Amino acid sequence: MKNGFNALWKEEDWWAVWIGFAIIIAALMQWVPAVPKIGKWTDDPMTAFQVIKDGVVLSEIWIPLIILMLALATLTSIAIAIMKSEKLGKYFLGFIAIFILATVSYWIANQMNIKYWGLSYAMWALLVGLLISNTIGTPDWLRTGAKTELFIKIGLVLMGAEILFKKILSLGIPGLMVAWIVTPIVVIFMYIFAVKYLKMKNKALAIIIAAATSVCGVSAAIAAAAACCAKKEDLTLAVGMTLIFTVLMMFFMPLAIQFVGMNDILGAAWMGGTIDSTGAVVAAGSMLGPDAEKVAAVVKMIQNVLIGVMAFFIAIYWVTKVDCEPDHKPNLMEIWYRFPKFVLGFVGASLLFSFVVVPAMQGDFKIVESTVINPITKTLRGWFFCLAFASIGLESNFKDLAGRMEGGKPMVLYVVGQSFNLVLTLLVAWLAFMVIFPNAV
Amino acid sequence: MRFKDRNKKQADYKSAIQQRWLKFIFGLIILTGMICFFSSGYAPPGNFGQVLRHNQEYNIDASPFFFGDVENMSEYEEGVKQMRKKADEANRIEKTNYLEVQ
Repeated sequence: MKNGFNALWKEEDWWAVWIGFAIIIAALMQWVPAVPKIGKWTDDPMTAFQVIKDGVVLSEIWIPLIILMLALATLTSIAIAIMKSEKLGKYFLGFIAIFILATVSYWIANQMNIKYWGLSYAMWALLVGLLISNTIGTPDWLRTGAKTELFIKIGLVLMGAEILFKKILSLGIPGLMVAWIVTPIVVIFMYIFAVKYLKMKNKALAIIIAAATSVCGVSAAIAAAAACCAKKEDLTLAVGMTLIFTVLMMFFMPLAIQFVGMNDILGAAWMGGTIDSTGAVVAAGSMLGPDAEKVAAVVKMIQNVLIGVMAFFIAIYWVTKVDCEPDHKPNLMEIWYRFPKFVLGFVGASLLFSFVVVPAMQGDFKIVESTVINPITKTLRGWFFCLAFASIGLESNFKDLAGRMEGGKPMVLYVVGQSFNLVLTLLVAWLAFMVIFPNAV
Repeated sequence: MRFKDRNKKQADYKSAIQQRWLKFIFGLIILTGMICFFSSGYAPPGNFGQVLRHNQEYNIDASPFFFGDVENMSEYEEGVKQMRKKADEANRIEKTNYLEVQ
């Protein structure tokens, strides 16, 4: 066990916090320029690499992209060098190759028709990685650059900056009821169902699926997987399932709501509380009208805010109940040593922005959003997640994935859990928006 | 005999590598096929494609998995704020009218 002050520069978790906060501080101080991102495109694939304003090409992003690649490689190399976890040259080379794969994945995902289907870069990065690892095999030098956990944890610390606690009151008590009462109940129900009734041996997979189903799909799956130190294959399975079901729910829920003639606001709250990803919620909500679109998106946003709280409790539960010897009650120091420290960075960034940064700007989140979050931390968070998914794909193989299916139990868990989620969310949304606060919006 | 074994091993190695590359090319074709299909703008006919056609018509990006990635999230928040304000106002007027009638 690495303990004491050594852990501060020897553990990946702490490095995620240092790198994440270094980026956040640099962004707040305006020391870094806007981070390049792959643009949206429809017919001409090259427009993805151009900065276009009002139909005029202002510049190309090739050089900024190369600078970004070298900057991220250097930044993460510092951690690798001090932790002495890999040979630096090999890591650098591997990172560059993975960055290129991530760029390709982003480029595919940013085609507009693909975006309409709700297929995110996470899926394409996974597929590109899986294609290599399951055919020609991932060479050692490429595997060396695949620092999945480090990428995920840095991405999560950066994500903390986007989660403001103030947002939970955006829709008043009814919104809070739908998003914050149902969600923990569904997580607990699904976990107990998986462990006690389905007898799933892989508890990490069970909690990842539970988090993805009830909180916010891919992002919750990433946070839960990192909090319980799950295997990469578990995250791949949970993300795969959530991506498929999200598209299906986006297609069918608005149709079902229209078919039964449900109230639009009730339908919107129902979809906001149940469809896994925010983009799909917006698309499905939009089918019911502009007001429903807004309510659905805001309910989902309130639910998204739970992600940090959820990661914190999963980490505590894992350290004290799951990942320890039976009949052994760990003391506080033991809990602290084994607690995934990046969660502190994640929650810390959220607290910093909620109670220091935004209030310092007279409570105007839009200024923070346009100067710090959108151009820097959010874009970098996307890059780190994309790098992580490409890395996961490169390190996963179909045989291991099939072995983790335990005769289809994860699929049963998802279907039963999502069905329970649908029923409970509808009931609570009906109570909140139709019975207790009928004139809330 | 040893020479024969070595040749056989070399042939097996070559064929294994060839098989891996064949698998890769096959996988690449499938992936390219998927990309072509989803990027073609095709929407299934009937009810199944209704949401997709709606997304195409109104240019709705359904891919963000986190609320921070939704481009007009602040507009949605502002919109809900206005909706709540209107609802509060309507409730207040209704309450005043009720009290006046009483």
